Amino acid sequence: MSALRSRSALVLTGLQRDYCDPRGALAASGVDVTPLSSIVPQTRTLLGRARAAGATVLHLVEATLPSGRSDSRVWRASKLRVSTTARLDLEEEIVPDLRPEVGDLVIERYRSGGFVDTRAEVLLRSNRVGTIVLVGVETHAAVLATAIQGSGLDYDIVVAEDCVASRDRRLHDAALDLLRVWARVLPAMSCGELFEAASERRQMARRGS
Amino acid sequence: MKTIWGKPVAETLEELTHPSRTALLVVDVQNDFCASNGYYGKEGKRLTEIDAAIPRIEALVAAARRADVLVVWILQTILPEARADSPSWLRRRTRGVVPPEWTLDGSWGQRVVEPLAPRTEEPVVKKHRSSAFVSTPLDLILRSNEIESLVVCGTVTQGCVESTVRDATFFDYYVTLATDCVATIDPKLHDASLLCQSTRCDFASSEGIMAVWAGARSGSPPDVALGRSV
Repeated sequence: MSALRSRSALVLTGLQRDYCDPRGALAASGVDVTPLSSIVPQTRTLLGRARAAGATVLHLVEATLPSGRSDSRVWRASKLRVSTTARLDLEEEIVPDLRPEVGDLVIERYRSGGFVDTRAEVLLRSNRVGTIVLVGVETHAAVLATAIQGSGLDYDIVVAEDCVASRDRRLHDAALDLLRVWARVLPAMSCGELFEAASERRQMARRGS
Repeated sequence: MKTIWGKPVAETLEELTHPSRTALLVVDVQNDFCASNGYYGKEGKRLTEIDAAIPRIEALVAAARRADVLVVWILQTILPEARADSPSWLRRRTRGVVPPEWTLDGSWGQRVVEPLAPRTEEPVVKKHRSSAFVSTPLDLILRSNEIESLVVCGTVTQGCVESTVRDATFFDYYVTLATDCVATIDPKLHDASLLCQSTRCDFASSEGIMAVWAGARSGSPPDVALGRSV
């Protein structure tokens, strides 16, 4: 792999109050968000392992600009659109157990796909990231969209299967089948090992040079 | 309006800056580039032209708001520990041993220079490179608001303004540069940049643009407004 793209990143998408919190926008629309919040503990563990191994951590937070300035007619009509609030403080919107730490990258997104007109690419490139471990909600929406886009942009995509969820089990299962087309779908335990192996390779390279 | 290969192409300043389809881009008018105690100011850079442009930008922004022209603010942004910088970009940014820590995310230097101030409903777009179109939500915001024309002002002429203007034309927006509302720290670079930009976009004075905005009946879509001119 090119040394320019030898690093790994943990990318978290949609793990925010408006999706996962029973007082958030999705729950307010009558959806039971328990399946979404249930992945938070194992995601927190994986996040800890990624940070400890020195991986880049990128939080993608879905947002809507004040006065709906980020909404097109098509997006407003989309079944995937949740009325995310126009919070000025993105970090406050992230679920508390996954709160960003110093060094994490936090950016807004205005559509499902994490690469649709966001700062994701310039940040991943700047940190020489070639492999993305993807976690978050929902499997059939933001996770699938981001995996397909990222794969098309030549990132090696890995999905941590126990750290993704949809409101509906059938949608989740169908999306995981589709994700296997674009990505390696692995248990979170193996994703953690992937970060640690990359960290060891970097240390060996440093000692060798 | 001209017709070229069956396609309607805007021609006059009225057509190029019609309020309902135009956004005003205010590029990098931030403390670190414009304020006397910002990065450039403390480095002793020449702020004469920038100081002179700020009141004109203020008037242009006010005119845009009166005519319901969407105002979009662009902010150069550096992240701690160069997290938004690639090796090649670090080489570009580094004049001495360390890259300048200007426009650090969340800092006073990153903020828009007073008396300019974005309103709550006006989009603010952070960027990590010179062009406001590189890996930002700018195109999405413009698309979402059915914008097809841009009026561009801000700093610095040969840097972020020129890069943003060039990319805007590649993203298929009509571009009008408000020539008296762009400025830089070196008059020679300013003139050289304007000469190059004159091959890419339309030029107008802020006075001319404001006259169009004051005269336009806001709400009448350009295709209707444009239909009567030939």
